[in-house]
Parts: sequence; structure tokens; C-alpha cells
Amino acid sequence: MITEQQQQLGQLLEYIAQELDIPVDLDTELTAEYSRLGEWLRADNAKRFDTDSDLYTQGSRRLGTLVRPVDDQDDYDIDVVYLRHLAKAGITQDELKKQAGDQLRRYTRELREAEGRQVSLLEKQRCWRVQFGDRYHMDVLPALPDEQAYANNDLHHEHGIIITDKDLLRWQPSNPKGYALWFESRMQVVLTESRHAMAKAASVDVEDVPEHAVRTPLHRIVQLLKRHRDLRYDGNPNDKPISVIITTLAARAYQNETDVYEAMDSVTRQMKGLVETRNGRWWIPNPVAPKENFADKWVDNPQRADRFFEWIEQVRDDVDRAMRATGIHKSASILGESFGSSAASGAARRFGDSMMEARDSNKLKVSAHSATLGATGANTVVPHTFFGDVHKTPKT
Amino acid sequence: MYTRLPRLNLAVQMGHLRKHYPAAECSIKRSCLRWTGTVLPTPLSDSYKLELLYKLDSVPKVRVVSPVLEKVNGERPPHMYSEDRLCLYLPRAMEWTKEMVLATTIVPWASEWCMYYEIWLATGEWRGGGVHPGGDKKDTEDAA
Repeated sequence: MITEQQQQLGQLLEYIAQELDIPVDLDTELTAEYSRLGEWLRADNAKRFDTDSDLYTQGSRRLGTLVRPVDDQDDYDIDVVYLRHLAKAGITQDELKKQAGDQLRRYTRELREAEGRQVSLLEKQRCWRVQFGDRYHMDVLPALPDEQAYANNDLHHEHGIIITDKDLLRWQPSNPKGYALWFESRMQVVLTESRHAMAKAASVDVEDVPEHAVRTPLHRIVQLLKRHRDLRYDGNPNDKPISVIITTLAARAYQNETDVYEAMDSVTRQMKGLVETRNGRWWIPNPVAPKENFADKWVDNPQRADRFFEWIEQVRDDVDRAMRATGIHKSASILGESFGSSAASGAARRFGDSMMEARDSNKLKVSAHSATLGATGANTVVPHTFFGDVHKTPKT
Repeated sequence: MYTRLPRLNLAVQMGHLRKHYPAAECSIKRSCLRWTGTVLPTPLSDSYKLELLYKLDSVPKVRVVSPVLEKVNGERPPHMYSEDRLCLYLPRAMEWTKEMVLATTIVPWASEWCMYYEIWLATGEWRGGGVHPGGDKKDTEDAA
């Protein structure tokens, strides 16, 4: 059981996470952008190489844990896999990377010349970065199906891919789709319940509610932890824990809690214990490729592990202080230091608006003794209109 | 057929207040009901000590006794009359009349006011809705 304070703080944390979501218009724009690129590449591959291809998102965009950049001037970083349906024997790493680069160069030139758009292309270690204006860029990762994936029988091996790296001779295995399926499986109970609830509220069939439309407390705490890391991680920025470490440990610790506070409390309590040591090395296995260690960088930088454990404690302490503060404004101020002041004041605004909505639909209750407002209570709050403010000059 | 409800006298109002808020103080002296109680608007909120004064020939007057109300950028909280009284309802719309029970209207509304006050401190915006009197003097006189 959680207390009423914890529940209300969970509500505020949920609202903060909603504030951290990508704005709806940009979300729609992005989806259209990579669908269009995917179609173009597919058509180009059919015409030039007589082969097939897919373009799909990976990372936080696929997982539903994308977080608005701390600085509004910064752009969104979207990761996409560009999968060519080719045999490894028929193409080298260099050729695959170069062909993708040639195609993207032609595509971006088309957008510039035919539509006057600001689009540029940059080669990175493993991918091509397509910069669309100043609001977002797409890291396009050329890949082939992993023909060897069946051999190791890892979870979701059917989605395994191999990717190129400028500095490595061998193809690198990866499985972003498999990882996303594993992530979903960790919250299956809540995901199913939420979809049913959304379907009921909208009077549609469950099948008509796309899974990606649902945000569970697991999504929310991963978003919150990532934002807290970006804001509160002091010291060497290279020591920051990578998102996949946070996401993996949080997903493993998550027990399908339905309340964001409860989930945050339980997850942050367990995360440290889920970091293993193997032969004296820190080890966080990739759930869909257990031989891969997400904490491999910690081996040479042991301070990263220490800082990570300290940071988790700081998250716990910040959340606890926000809960013990007396006053929504004081909680909001502590949450603002932890997750960003505009997200925290946005959350307070959403909280107020939800109370207003409840009152207007005769669902706001008030308790006896302390006149505490909420979803339960002895009486319903009678509608009324706040009035007055005779001290201000009336607007003309 | 619509029957007008009787105007509630002070003793009846006090009875309701005592029943709903047993820990609060309530008394009637010289035809004036005085209620002092502490409300907790939401579980995360601060506690607010309120004073409610009511005479049958006037309107209920509520103020926050403690804590001392803060300002934001030098501005007092919205929806207050002079003498720090809270503006809880629209007088001309008859949202509150002398037939209504203070314990289930004015006190919850004051608790709500305190919640929106905290949200105002957090955001700089009054999110509780309401209207400002503008040029219509009559409203303020009615309510005074």
C-alpha cells in the first residue's frame, strides 16, 4: 500500500514525464519523415539493385522512452535501422556503408533542390546522420540480417542484424528490434491492462489501440531517470551512464506496478543489486545478447560504477524530499531541480487542471475533518466560480 | 412545485460545521458565527488555518490565518478582496445563498482556493478558473 502523499507525487511524476514527451506535432512530422525516407530507399533498392529493404526505428524512439532535450535549442536524435535484405557474402562492410551514403546523398539533394529544404548529411562511425533543419536529425544505421543469429539461440534472434564499424574488421551483431520486444515483455501486464482501459474509454476494440500509444509507469520512470541523469549528473560527462544501462536495469526491476511513484521507488531500490560482477568485472548483460556487456566501459573506468550507484541514491533522495515537502509548490520546486523547472511547473499546471476538470464534471470529492480534495471523500464539491481581485487594474 | 428552502440560522450552520470538522473551533457571539479550522487541500499540500466569519445580514468572510500568504513578483494572490478575504464564489450568480450549508460549500471552496494558491506559487498562473470583476462595481458591493 502506498500513502496518499506517495500517490499524489506519483501523479506529479507522471505529469512531468508527459511534459518530457516529444510534442505531438513534431512526433507526427518525424513519423512522416522516416516513412517517406523508408519508401524512397525501398523504391531505389528495387530499381537499382533489384533487392528489398526496410527502415525502422530503434532505441528510445522505438521503446517509447524519448525525452525532450534539456535545452530547447537542441534537436531530437532519432535512431533508425536501414536493413538491406542481402546476404553477407555478397557485400562488404565498406560497400554497404558507401551504398547507403550514396543513396542518402541523392535523397538529401532531392529534398534540397526540389523542395528547398535544409537537409545535410554527415558520416559517423557506424551510421549516416541526416540533419533535417534544426529540430531533429536521424542516425541511419546500415545493416544486414544476421545469418548466424540462429546458432546462438538468443532471445528474439530472428530479428538479429549485423552492422558496420569504421574501425572494426568484423561485422558487429546487434538486435534493436529484439531488445524492444524484450522491453515490452517486461511490462506486458500493465500494457495489456492499459490498452483495454484506453479501448473502453474511447469505445473502440482493443486491437484498435496501438501498443505504442500506451505509456506505462516503466516508460515514465525511464524517461524521468534519463532526464535526471542529464540534469543532475555532475563531474565528468563521460561518466554519465548510457541510456541502455538505465533502461535495461529499470526494465529488469519493474514488477508491473501501476503507480509511477511505487515503480520509481521499487526500481531504484533494486537497480544496484542487478549489476553483476563476473570474474571481478562489472557486468550488465544485453538481455537479447547475453555475451554483450553494456557495462564494458566500466572495466577501465571503475569510478563510473561508483558514480552510478551514488546517482541512483541521489534520485531516491530527490524524490523523497519532494514527497516530504509541505506544499505543492515546494514539491514542484524540488522536482524542478531534479527534472527541469519547466517540466515541473507544467506538471503542477496539469495537476490543477485535472482538479478543475474533476470539479466541473462533479467528480471532485472533499473529505470531512481536513477538507482534503480528491477522488474520494464524504461530499462532492459544489461548482462555484472564484471571483474578485479588486486590487488589479481592470484590463482595458 | 418548487418550494424555497428556508434560510439557515447560525445555530444550524454551526451544527453542520461541528459535525464535519470536529477538531475546529466554532462559536456564536453577538450574532456572529466564528469558525477556525485547519484544512489540508491535498495530501502534498501545506496545512492552512482558516477563519470564517458569518453574520446573517452579511456574507461569509474567509481568510487564511496561517501561513502568511506569499507574493509572486510582488503580486498578491489572485481572487482576494481587501482585508485578505478570499473570493470564493460569484455573488451575482447566486452560487452561494443563505439556504446553503457553509460546511459543505464555503469551507471546501476555501480549501480549493488554497490548493490553487499553491499551484499559482508553482506556475505563476491561477488554474482554478474564475472571473475578475472588471468594471462592474455592483458585484464587489454585493459581496462586501
